[in-house]
Amino acid sequence: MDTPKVNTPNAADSLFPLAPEVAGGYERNFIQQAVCELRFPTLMSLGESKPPAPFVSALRKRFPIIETLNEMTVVPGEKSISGHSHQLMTTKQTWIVRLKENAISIETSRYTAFSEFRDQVKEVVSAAIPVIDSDFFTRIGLRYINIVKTDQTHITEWINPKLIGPLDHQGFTLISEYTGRLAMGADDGGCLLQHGMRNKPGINTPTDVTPDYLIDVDAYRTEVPATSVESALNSIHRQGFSLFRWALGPKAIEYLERKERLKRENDNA
Amino acid sequence: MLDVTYQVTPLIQPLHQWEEVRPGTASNPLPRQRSLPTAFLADRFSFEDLMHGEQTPVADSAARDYFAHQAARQNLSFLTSRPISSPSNVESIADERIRLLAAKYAGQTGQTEIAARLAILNRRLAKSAPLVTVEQVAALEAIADELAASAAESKIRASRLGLAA
Repeated sequence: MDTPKVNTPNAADSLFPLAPEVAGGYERNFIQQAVCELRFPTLMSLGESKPPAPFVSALRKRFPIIETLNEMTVVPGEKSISGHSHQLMTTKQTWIVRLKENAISIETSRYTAFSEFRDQVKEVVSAAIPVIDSDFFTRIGLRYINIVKTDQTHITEWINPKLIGPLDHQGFTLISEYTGRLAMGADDGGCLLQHGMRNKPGINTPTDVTPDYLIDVDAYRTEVPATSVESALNSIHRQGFSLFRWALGPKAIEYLERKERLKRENDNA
Repeated sequence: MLDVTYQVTPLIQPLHQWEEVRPGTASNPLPRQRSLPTAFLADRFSFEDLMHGEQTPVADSAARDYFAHQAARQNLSFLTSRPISSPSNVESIADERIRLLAAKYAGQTGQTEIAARLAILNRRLAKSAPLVTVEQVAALEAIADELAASAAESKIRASRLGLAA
């Protein structure tokens, strides 16, 4: 007999068993892009052509490049709705902040550690709080796009065989595409794992060369008070990391831990 | 009820796009059904009418509630001469609400965030310009007391004169 699903206040934290925390995090990673989006009650004035001055001046030093983008929602057969978003970037454009009328996003293509990313998010949130006229966020999402670059060993060495059953010596050859999607949700949040093979650069036809593997992990929480952003980020990150960690095979984990292990050995020596 | 459709956290500058093949996603949208409020906004009133026009929408909308409230305030002004709130503050809240309602009915993305802001503005409007003020309730209670006192006096007088009450 099916038992009804009961959502506790922290139901989203209990969607699956969490991996043990790695103190200080790994020094290596597979992350190509990381983004944190914080949605808040829509404030139409933020969609005007000029960004809010207090927000810009609070972040100007770290994000000196500012762009205003036109945003248009086109609904077939009806009038389009236009607005603006404001994009702030570091000089090397490796960090981008975008402020829209209902969301603020922080994205990087140079991810080093969660602690650094979280500090950056906190700085942007501190600058945003005075201008968004809200003391809570409707949704906080944290997403990591990882590309696991394999070597010539079988892909099950790099990716959890449970995730890639058809690729695991099942007799299928010259596979051109393989993707999957696993979404879990509770009332107060959820997470999503999107994954799939990706041919190595320069290979456009099916071959027996072990493909790279894309692991896209996204987790979110809803209705987060502004004062609880940090703790929400910690739990979202822990869940996203656990999902990512589960998706890896032994070689990928060894790759991540190698520097960590060397560091520990040096410390002990 | 829990919405089982996962809303992916969007990237600012995506390096990779997953193929979306499920119904209802960006590349495979479900046929849009025009709801009554959308038809009301699109067919009977322009956005400008709602923002600045003299016409008062009579269909089911929060804008109608606002205009009805304004009319009610004028009708009840005999009860108290105290200004309820700064008109400019109330008007700015109402303007923001109407812009949000237009965005909501036009199907703009971020419906949860629009609903959250509407709830905030509704609360502020109820505080700034309550439909019934404490003074109005007191004035109505005074009138009710006066009527009750008159009725009691009338009863005593009728009894004294031997008349049916």
